[in-house]
Amino acid sequence: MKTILAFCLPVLVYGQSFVVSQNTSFTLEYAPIALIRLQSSITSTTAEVPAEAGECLLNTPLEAGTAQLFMSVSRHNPKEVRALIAANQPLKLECEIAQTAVNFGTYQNNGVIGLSPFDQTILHIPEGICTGLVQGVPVELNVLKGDDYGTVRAGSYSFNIKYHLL
Amino acid sequence: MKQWLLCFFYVLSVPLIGQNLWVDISSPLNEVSEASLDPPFTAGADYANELLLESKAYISVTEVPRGSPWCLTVQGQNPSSSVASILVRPDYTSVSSQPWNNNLPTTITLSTAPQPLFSGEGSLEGLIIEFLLSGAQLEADWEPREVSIEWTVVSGECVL
Repeated sequence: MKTILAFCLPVLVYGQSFVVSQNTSFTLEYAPIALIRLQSSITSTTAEVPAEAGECLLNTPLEAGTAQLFMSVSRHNPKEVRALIAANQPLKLECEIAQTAVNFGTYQNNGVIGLSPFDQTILHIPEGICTGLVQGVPVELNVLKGDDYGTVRAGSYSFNIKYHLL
Repeated sequence: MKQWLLCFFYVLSVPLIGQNLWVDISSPLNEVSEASLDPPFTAGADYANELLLESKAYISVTEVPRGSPWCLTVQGQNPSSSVASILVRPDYTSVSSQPWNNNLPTTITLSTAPQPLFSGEGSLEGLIIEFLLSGAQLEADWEPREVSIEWTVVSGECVL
């Protein structure tokens, strides 16, 4: 009898209910991301001719349009958006970051910044940000009389602005 | 004495024919990068809503009698504070000749509770399970994360 049971044991076990488990794992890593671009690379404006003789151009700041900055920045480190102009100009260029809601994340503006050939922080990103593809961060640009206003002549002036993330 | 020896060898043989579950993970490291944005490499874009991860699980269930139904369940082992969730999806084409329960959802979200994923019959080899990252956000998801999964095969069909 014992021999028969012994022979049947594997077969009986084979037909029994069973539970078997195994553990596995894998890792997910997020690479740092810091992307920035302008919606439109050119904005332009025209100064009106003074209404009376003796009046200056640019008595009041001249709006030079708004640049939309699109950004995708991961949360790995706080980041700064910096800007500089390529060279000194007789006119002065200011930028101001408007506060607006973006897709995800937040930013802190630095008020009105007079752009110069020296790198300056125009906004701070404390965590991550994703502006979305339709509405970016508005950078309002204004042209003012500069320190070398006396050298301004009729013609066109261009400012090449470089924005970058640091 | 002879009978005892026979018993001894047959008892020894029992574990050899017990049901087995083998799970191999390919590419255990997944990197989410600029290429994972939608559109890829585009400032202003966020991660795509669903990202297919490189990691895949290759499942084999062996030593199950022909026609015996079983259910494969998955259970996440470490709850995450991440916004993104992990989706688990059997690639049915990998076992196209094998029967499965069509009533099961084709994709499940990994959670700390066991969930039925695949219902099979008899032994099976080469079932591929894919993983997707769902709902990741640049603003929130940045820390490395280990995804641990307990796979369990239980006799009987999956019950929802």
